[in-house]
Amino acid sequence: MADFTAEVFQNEYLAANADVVDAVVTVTSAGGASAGPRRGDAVEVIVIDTSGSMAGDRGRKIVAARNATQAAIDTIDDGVLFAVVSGTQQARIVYPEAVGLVRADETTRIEAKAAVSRVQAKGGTAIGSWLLAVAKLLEDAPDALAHAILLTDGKNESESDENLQAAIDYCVGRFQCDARGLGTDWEVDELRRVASALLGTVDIVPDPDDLEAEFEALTRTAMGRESRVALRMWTPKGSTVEFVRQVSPTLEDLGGMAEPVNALTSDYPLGAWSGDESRDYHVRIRIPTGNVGDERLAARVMLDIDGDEQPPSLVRAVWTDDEGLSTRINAEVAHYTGQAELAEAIHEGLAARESGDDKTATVRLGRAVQLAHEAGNDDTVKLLQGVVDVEDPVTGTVRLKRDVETADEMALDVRSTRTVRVRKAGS
Amino acid sequence: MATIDCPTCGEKTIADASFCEACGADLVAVEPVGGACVSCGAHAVDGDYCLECGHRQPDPHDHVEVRDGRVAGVTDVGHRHHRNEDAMALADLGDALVTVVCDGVSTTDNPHEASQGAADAFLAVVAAAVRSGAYAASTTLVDAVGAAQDAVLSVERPGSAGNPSCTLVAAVMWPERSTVDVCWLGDSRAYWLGPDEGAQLTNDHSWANEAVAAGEATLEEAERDPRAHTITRWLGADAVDLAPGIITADVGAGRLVACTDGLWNYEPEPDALAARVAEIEGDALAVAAALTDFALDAGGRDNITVVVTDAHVDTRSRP
Repeated sequence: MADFTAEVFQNEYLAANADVVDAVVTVTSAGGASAGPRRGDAVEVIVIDTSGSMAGDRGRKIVAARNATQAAIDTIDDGVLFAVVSGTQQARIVYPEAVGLVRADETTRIEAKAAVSRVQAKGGTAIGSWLLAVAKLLEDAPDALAHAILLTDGKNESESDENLQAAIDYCVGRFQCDARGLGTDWEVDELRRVASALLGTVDIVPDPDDLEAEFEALTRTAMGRESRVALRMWTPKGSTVEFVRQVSPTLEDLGGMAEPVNALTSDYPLGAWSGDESRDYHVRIRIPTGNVGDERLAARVMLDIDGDEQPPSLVRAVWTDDEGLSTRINAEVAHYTGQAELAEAIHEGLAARESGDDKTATVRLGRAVQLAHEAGNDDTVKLLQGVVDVEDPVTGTVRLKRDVETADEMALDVRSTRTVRVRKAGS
Repeated sequence: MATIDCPTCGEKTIADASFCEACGADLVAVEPVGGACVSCGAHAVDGDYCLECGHRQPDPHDHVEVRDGRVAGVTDVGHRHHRNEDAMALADLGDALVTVVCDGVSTTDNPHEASQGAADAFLAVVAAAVRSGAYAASTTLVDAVGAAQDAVLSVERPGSAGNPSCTLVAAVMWPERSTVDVCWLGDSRAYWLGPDEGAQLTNDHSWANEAVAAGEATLEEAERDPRAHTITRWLGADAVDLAPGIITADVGAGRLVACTDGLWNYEPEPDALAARVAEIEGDALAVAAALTDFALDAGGRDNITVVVTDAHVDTRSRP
């Protein structure tokens, strides 16, 4: 089994009366995948939109969806339980034809691909009903590590938003879901809500030709994940957890996912992990202030790996009257605070642009260019250049573009939460 | 308000209450996790911290006061350091009064274990020699340095810092003869402090002193060098010179003070230190405590250790 470590980066020194402790926790798994068969069951469900709009673009979308699904099926490991769902105003199980899930092998993969090849595009879009269909399939394997890929090309217009939200809420903790939007007629916010709640990623696939590679990559990543990880955090009596957020590879607020263990301890599910990855988390805790010279624990961070609790890493607070110590800025905390501000600037800039407030849009998107440039977030600078002309990235001087490709704007929106890591000195 | 299930009756009760409201069971006594926290009183101390309020529990070695007859010492972590890496060992053996003070080198691994191990080992050799009548300064003190070095070498080195290392200053006072044998490695010092004047009995093993002794620099030039206060002798695996300084001094009325640089950095001059001590009322422990408080008030940037021998006040003869 892979080795997991949690490393804390912080400035533990606080000025007298200060009560806010920031820390970045880097969680890393190393040692690769375990040899031999998985310890428990894994499930892969592929959900593709087969609404009428998928027949558009002279049939390219539905053909791409079939091909991509078949590529994903070919990537599923032997023994993994799987199913394929097609979604319209309701969900239909494309494969298996019998009730439940089927284990992947040579025969079932061929059967599944044949079933997929017969899928037609006709009907509406009710994403919530698709999610509930996945949850229903999983009743067969309640303890399995379950992953779904969800594809849509349109808005969730065949059910109420309350229905979608209720379905998302029901599925939390049951499976993880990576959501992909094909083309530009879908809602970024809808898919982001699905992916964030279900510990997955969200992205745009503007061109149907790119869908196959995307599905294959998503499935391969899912197959590599075999450990269920939770971040368990103890904080002292009288303290408040201001936030727990994943900050790398993407920004995700985990605060709403806290599951209390006892009065002082909560679990934050981190989903399934492979034996070779690393993610960063930023925690901010408000604790009762101490006297100069006092040291107090602000948090004990423990990883729970498949139910095994690892030894704690400590987030500390030491009150000092030495300003040289208390005013030190921790590089990791500062960097990710900036990355969060960057995502917010993009979000606000795009919203202002949408509402016709060009002045605010220019200021906020300019600030975003400046922050992305400072942090070395080159991919985000490129995405920003899809909506603004950059005159000076250092000062954040930009002009709004007149003609913006919808796909560029959506890509900026959907990828605004992608972060880069701290540039280490000398590199 | 947070509630817990009472371990006795199972009813919900207030988490931080002392007694279960339903059955009256003593919640604190039912399942103590550890000792009581010095900050919040909760029985939730686990290792260094309270798992209720998070307060770090004081290390018992942060402040220690010891007295044996006419010898007494105080060691204190100071205001800046998080661990007390100084150590002391002392004994009133009747004929002889023995003092050992060591200062762990903080850039090395486990310096606190090195300093305590060295002090204890040194004292053991001297005490055995005094008791058996075999004591002779020229041989016993060198043997004791050897035992202290062995103790430092046996300290584990878990990290990537330097080899465990420490300084040492020791004094064996013979009240009947009015002499004191002093032995040292590094920059921990011994002073003789009379009612009107004082004398420094040790000569720091520092870069500045060695440069002056070798005729390579004047004292003024040497003191300006950034290496001036770098120690040149110490106990530890990478010690380059294990030869201790050893002297025997005739002394009159007064007190012997052995200390680490946590004290003398704030008052290096013997006469000024003597004047300060002359104002302190009380026995050896009172003097050691007052000097420690002086160093703390002056900033306490380093660990502080002060051991005082007051041969003229025999506390054991008091009723």
